[in-house]
Amino acid sequence: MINQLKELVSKKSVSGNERVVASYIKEQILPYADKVYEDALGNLIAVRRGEGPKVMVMAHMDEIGLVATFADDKGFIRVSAVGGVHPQKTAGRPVIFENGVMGVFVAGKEQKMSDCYIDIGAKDQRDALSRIEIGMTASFVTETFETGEKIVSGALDNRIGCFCLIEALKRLKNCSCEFYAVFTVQEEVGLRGAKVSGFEIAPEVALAVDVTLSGDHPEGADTSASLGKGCAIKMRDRSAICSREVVEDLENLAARKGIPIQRDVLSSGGTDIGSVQLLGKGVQVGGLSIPIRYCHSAIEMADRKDVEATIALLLAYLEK
Amino acid sequence: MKNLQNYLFKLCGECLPSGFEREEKSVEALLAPLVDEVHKDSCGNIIGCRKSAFGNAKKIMLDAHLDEIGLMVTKIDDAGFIHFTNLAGFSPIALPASSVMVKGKRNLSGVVATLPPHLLSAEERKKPIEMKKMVIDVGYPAETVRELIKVGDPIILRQGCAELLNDRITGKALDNRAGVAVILDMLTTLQKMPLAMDLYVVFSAGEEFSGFGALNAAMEIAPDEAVVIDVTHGESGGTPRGKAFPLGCGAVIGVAPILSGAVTDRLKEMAKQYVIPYEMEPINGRTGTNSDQIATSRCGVPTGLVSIPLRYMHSGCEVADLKDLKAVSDLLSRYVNRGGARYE
Repeated sequence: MINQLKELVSKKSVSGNERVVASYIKEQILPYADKVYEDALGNLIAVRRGEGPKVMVMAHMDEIGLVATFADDKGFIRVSAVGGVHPQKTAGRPVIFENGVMGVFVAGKEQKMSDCYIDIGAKDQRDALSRIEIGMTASFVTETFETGEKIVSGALDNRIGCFCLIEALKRLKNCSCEFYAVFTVQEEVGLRGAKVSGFEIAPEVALAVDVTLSGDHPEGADTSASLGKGCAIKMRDRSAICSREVVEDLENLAARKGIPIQRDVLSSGGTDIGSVQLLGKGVQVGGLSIPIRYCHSAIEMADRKDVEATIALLLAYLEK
Repeated sequence: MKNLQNYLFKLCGECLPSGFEREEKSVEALLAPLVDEVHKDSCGNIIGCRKSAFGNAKKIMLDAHLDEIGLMVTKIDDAGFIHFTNLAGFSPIALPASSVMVKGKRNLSGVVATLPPHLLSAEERKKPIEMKKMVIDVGYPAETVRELIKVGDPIILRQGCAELLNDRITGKALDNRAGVAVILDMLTTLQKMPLAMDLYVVFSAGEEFSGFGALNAAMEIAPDEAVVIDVTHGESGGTPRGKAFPLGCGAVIGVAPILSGAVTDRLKEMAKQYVIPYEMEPINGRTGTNSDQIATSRCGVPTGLVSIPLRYMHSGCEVADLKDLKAVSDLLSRYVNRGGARYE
């Protein structure tokens, strides 16, 4: 698990710039799909044929990051957030631009995004702009390691979801549905990739595999989701209220197969199903979430038991 | 008005928070005898259809949202208190000391627990209480609560309807069971008349959340025009001028950039012609109703908005006037009967 995850995390993919991770995932899944293709926005879609309803399962490939807006006279790179970047959680972290130039993300006293900048050690504006271009994205440099049962890494949101979906494709034997595995783009900036992919596929059921906030650490979210208690079945978040039928299906399957699950109610944040639910005559939606600590910081933590439970439940759903 | 009141009392007894509409059975039964066919779609909308007497008729969609504001269980602590978050539409202001119902394996009555003022510091007494600091007390110890209630179960206000003086009704979820009652009453009026248009009525899901139901329904029905029936603010002590309407003023017809001038003008014309009391409500920007979703669905759907004044919106003691409901019902039956909007 950890080696594949390291590979996934090392391919930087700030929203809108997911090509590198997409081509890596494509390589991984080619032998396990009847058809693999990319759409105009960059969503990566793998199809596994089967008798039964059309089921779309999404995991977003993009991660939060920064984009260079201008370089000031002294050569400091001013930036905008791409997705939900919180300076208080990420200040002081090293960052890397898409062309490999490294720097440090510095937050002002008040930790307002408008005061933040990246210091790449440039002499002046000219020097800075000779090394990076305006509009280039930068992502947080991170380490990926294991400690006990836990996995620690940046961008677990949502490479861990990508990992689950890749594993599901690899391990799936008897597919009882028309299975569309979609690695989506631009989730962190408004669930955009999912919207066009959902329109194209027009599924009967759509599931998202994504992370959720856990409430099991000091100043954690006000939720019962905890690391190690199993796959978290999404009930609602800010983007969608999940379909009762899908929730019940997932819970019954988990009970039958002895897969550990918990329920996930999220007061903030959303995921890809939020935009797919609204398409056409409506799509039944559900979510399989992996609880993580310290979400949207440059270092997040998950439990491998929850990851295994999520893969197992996803497989059970696709094979039922 | 007795018909309206009967419908309203039945409807307000239902527990239908956003996203949980599909479990409902009795509203379908109220609608079935008044239309040719009824079905429930995948997202929880109840859609009824009465076909026109003529072939190739225009399609009109009347929408009133069925869902009500709700909360959702996030965790049950070791003392048995239920922690919750907003499911849809709730503001912490209306919550302290409310009587609620938790829909678990069994329906449990509960109260939103608050600290007595004696135990608050002077500073705390001045500030509103945050939702995440409130809990619900259902009386049972933790293990019983955990047996009966799961994380993710919905919670609604418990109050039913009661009559006040002067045709006024108080209760929870008048937003927007008042609109649903109006459509049922209108269908009763239209029952003996042939229709010039194919009439689709939608009791839509999820308005208090995002309006997903109305959007999905408009995609499915593909109407030529639509009228949304919802509530607006009723005048009470302290309502800002121009944002609220006196109870008893009649039907409130919306005027907004997103709304169709042709539909709005025709609604006004019908009100004048049939001497139905009405007021105009200018809205800048979004209307905050399903009209926003329906008007921009497909290639654009000409949409009108008719509202019922309602006091104390999103609380357990909303107040509406049956005379206003009647005015909206009359206006809609005339509008549909006369063939909807005219385009020159």
